[in-house]
Amino acid sequence: MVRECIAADGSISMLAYRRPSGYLLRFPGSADFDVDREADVVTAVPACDAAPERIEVLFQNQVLPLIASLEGRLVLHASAVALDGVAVAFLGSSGRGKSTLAASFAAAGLPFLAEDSFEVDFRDGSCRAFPSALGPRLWADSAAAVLGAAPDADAEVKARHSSCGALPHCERPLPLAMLYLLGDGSADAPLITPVARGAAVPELIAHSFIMDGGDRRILAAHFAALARLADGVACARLDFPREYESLEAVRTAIVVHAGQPRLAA
Amino acid sequence: MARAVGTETVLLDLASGTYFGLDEVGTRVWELLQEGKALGDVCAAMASEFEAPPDEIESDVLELARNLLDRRLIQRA
Repeated sequence: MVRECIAADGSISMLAYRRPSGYLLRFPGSADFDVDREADVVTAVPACDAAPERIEVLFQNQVLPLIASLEGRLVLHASAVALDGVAVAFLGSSGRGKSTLAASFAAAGLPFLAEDSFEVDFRDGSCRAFPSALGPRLWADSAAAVLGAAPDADAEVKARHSSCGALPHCERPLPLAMLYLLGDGSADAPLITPVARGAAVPELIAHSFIMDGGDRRILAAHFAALARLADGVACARLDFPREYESLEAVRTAIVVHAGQPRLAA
Repeated sequence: MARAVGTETVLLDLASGTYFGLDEVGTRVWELLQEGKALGDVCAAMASEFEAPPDEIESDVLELARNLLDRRLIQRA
């Protein structure tokens, strides 16, 4: 085994195994993905009761980013929105509110770029964020609060919300201007504190995709890319009370901090 | 391997996959060590560059060197 991911509730969310032809990715209760690097083929074997949409989300948001890491590409576990020609990203583990925050921006007319993960590259000395293929997925209560949608009876399933197609979606890469690390929600009001660039690197490691950290070549390339990212893009901690009514104040704090105060109106 | 990030440096031990961050002052110590300087020479150089008591500088440099050694990010000559 080359990797084990633990979810916030302590359960195992993913296991990765190295195989002669590639890797096996196991998402307990959902699916196995056989990544055959020699044949350049990924085969999904869903659990018998796994919904097809769940398999697609796993493929887009987990499997593809992990495969990208094998090719030296950098994918962040983050949502992102477009603010007047630049991207700002929200990094955090599952449940920290990445999707809700991005959808909140989109509902306010500021396009979302990515819901759960996005690739970055470096060109001409700047870092670009690429749009994700999937639209925002929200828990039923978040969709109801942020989008004004009718609550879903099945609140346990985080599904791509049907009304999200109407939200503005930026479909071109944008310069990445700011990285926000989402806190645990203990702040009484929106609170943004800068993170030193060197200290940001370990944080970014925790919020980026790497299939095989045991492979020194891959690890070295991943580390170099994250150091370059931290060197070129400012990082800050962002915490705010997890109350839907506070989202407008959070958006205002972010656009002012990110240097786009005219978008606060 | 080491990468400069702003005025700081982040080190990665490829064998263990652990990371170690150095602030601006630690980065200068790292640079001097990378030049092959002995610890005594590093302390002397730091004392000439930073306004702090020599014994304090020596203590800080030795502690950092021990940390780096423990993490196998540097080796004894």
